[in-house]
Amino acid sequence: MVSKVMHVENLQVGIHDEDRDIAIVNGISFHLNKAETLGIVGESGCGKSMTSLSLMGLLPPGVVWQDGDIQVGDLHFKQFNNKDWRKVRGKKVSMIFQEPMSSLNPVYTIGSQIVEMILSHETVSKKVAKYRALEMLKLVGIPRPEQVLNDYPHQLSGGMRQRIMIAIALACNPEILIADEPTTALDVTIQAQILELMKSLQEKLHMSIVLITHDLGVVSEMCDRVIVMYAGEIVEEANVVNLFDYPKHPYTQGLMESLPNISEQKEYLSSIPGVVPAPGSMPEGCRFAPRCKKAFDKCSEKPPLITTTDGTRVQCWLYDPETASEVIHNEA
Amino acid sequence: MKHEETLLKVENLKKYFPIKGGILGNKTLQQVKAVDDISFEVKRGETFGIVGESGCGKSTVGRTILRLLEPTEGSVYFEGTDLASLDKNSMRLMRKDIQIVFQDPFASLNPRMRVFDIIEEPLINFGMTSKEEREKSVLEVAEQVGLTVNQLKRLPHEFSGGQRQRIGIARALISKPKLIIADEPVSALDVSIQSQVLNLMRDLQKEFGLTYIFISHDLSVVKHFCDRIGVMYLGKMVEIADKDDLYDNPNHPYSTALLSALPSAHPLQKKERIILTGDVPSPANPPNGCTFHPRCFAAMEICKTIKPTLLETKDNHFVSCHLHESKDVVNV
Repeated sequence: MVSKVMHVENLQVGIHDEDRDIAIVNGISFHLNKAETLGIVGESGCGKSMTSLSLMGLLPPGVVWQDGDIQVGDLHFKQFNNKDWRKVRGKKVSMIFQEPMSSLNPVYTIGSQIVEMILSHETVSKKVAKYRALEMLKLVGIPRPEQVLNDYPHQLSGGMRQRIMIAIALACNPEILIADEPTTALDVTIQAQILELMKSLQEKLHMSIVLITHDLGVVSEMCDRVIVMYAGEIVEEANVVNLFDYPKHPYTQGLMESLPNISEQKEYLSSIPGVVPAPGSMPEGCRFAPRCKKAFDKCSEKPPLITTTDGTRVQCWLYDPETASEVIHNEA
Repeated sequence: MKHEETLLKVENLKKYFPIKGGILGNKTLQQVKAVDDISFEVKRGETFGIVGESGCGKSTVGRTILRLLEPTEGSVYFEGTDLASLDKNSMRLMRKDIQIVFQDPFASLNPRMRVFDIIEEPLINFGMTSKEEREKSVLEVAEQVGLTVNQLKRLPHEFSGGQRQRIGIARALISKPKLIIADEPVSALDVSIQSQVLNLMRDLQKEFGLTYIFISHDLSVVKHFCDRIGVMYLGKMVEIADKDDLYDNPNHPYSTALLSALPSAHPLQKKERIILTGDVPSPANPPNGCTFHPRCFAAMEICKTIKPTLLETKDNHFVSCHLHESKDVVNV
C-alpha cells in the first residue's frame, strides 16, 4: 500500500478585482504518493506555477488563497501564518525554481547560502553545518566542492547553479521537493545531466517530487503520474504510460499531436486553434469547449472529473457513460 | 524535393567581439570568437537549420549575414553579390531580399506603433511611395498570416505571443524577400501555438518559394522543419548534413551526444544516453585543438593540439572531427 504524503483539496487561488473574485486556480484536488514523481503539465497561464507556489505558501502579493486546503501529514496549510510556513519550507516541502540565475543571492557565497538553510531548521553548530554543506555539494556532483563553497553564484554556469539550488533545497532532507520548470532555462545536454541527478537523488533520499513543466519530453522521462492543467483546472490525471498511449481529454490529445516527433515525418503539425482564455473571461461550462474539435451541446455545462476504466480521471463529458450514449445515439 | 541552385554562400565568416580594458578602456585585451571561420551554402527553396546550445554563436551567424553585426572577416555571397563588401546604403536596399524574424515577439515590435504601421514600415523604407499600394500590400500580407483588418488597428500589447509572431512574420514578408532568417521564431511559444506558427511558415514557403535559415536550439523542431542542418559548437560548424542523414547517422561526437540528450518521446522507450560532462567553455578562452575535446567521449591525443577541419565524409555530409579524418587515412 502506497502512503500518501500530501493531499490537495479543492484548492482555489486567485485575485480580487472590482468586487469579484477571479480564480486563477479553480478548485483542484490531487494527492502525492510517497517517493513518486508527479508531473503537472500545461501551457503558460494554465495555473501550474500558482499551484506550486501555494504548496510553498509563496503566493505573490495580490494573489490570495480563496478556498480549499493542503494537508501534509497532520499539518493543514490553510491555517498557517508566516511563522508556521517558515518551519515547513525547506524542512517538509522544498522548492527549486526555473531561473537558477535569479534565485540565488548574488552577494553571498554558495557555502553561506547552504549553511543558512541548515541553521534555520536545525540546532547544529556552524562547523557541522559547513561540513554538511560540503557533503551536499558532493552529493549533487559539483566538481572541486571545497572551492565552490567560497565561490559566488556569478562564478558558476547555469547548470552548476541549478545543482546548487538542488543542494540547498535538499539540505534538510525534505519529504517533498517541488521543481518548477527546473530545466527550462538550460540547454539539452545540461538538462539531461540535471534530470539524471534528480532521479538518482530521489532513489537515494526517497523523497516525493512534484515536477511542474510544459515539456512533455521531460514528463515522459521523469514522471510516474501526470496531471494536465488547462485554464486553472485539472482536465486529466493519469499514470504516465496511459497518458502517452491513451490520452483522453481532447486538450491532452491536441497537445500530444502538436509536438514534432523526431521519429516520424509529417509535413504539417496538427495544432489547437485559438488561444487560452484570460482569467476573468472564462467561458461557461467546459473551459476548453471553444477550442475543442469534439465540443457538443452538453459542453456548456461544467463536466465532472470522471474516472475511466483504466484509472485515468478526465474532466470531459465524452467519458460520461450517459452522455456518451446520447451522443452516439444522436450521431446514428 | 531537390534544391540545386545556391542562393547564399557563406565563406570563412568570422565575428570577433573585443573585450576592452586598460586604463582608458581602449585596449583590446581578448577577443570573444563568437563565430569562428564558418562556411556553408544555402540552396534556393530549402530550409537550412542551424542548431546548437546557448552561446554557440548561432544567432550571431544570422545577424552577421544581414550585417546587423559587421563581420570581422569573410564573405557572404547572396546571388553572387558579396554582402560584406557593400556600402551601407546598398546593404540597406539588399535587405529587401533578406529579412529576419526575431525570437522574442515581445521585444521585437515597437510598443507604440500600430500593427498596420509596423507591417507597412519596410515598404516606406524600400521606397514604395504610393500610399494606396502600400495599404493594399499590408492588407494582402495580413490576410496571408491570418490577421484580421480590425486587428491591424491595435497595438502590439493587445496580442498574444503567437499573434505577435505572426505580425513579425508579416513584417518580414511584406518586402517580398527571397531569404528569411528565422532566429528561434517559436522558442517563446507554447507547443500548441508553436505548431500553428510552424505550419504558417511552411505554407508561406510553398506559396512564395521562400528560402529559410532556421536557427533553433530545439532538435525536434529543427528535424520537423528543415531540409539540411548545420550543428554549431563554440563558434564553429562541427557537422552539416541532410536532416535524415544527421539524425540517423550523426558523425560528430557532439551531434551524437546532443541527439541522445533529447528526452524520449515515450515513457517506456528507454534511450541509451551519452551524458556530456562539464559545461560549454567560454568562447573568450576556447580550448586548444578541437574545441570540443574536453567534453568528448572519443577524444584522442591529436584532438588536444590540432584543430580538425570541416571535410566531406560522404555525399553532402560534412564533419569536422579527427575520428573521421583518420578513417580516410586508413582507407587510403
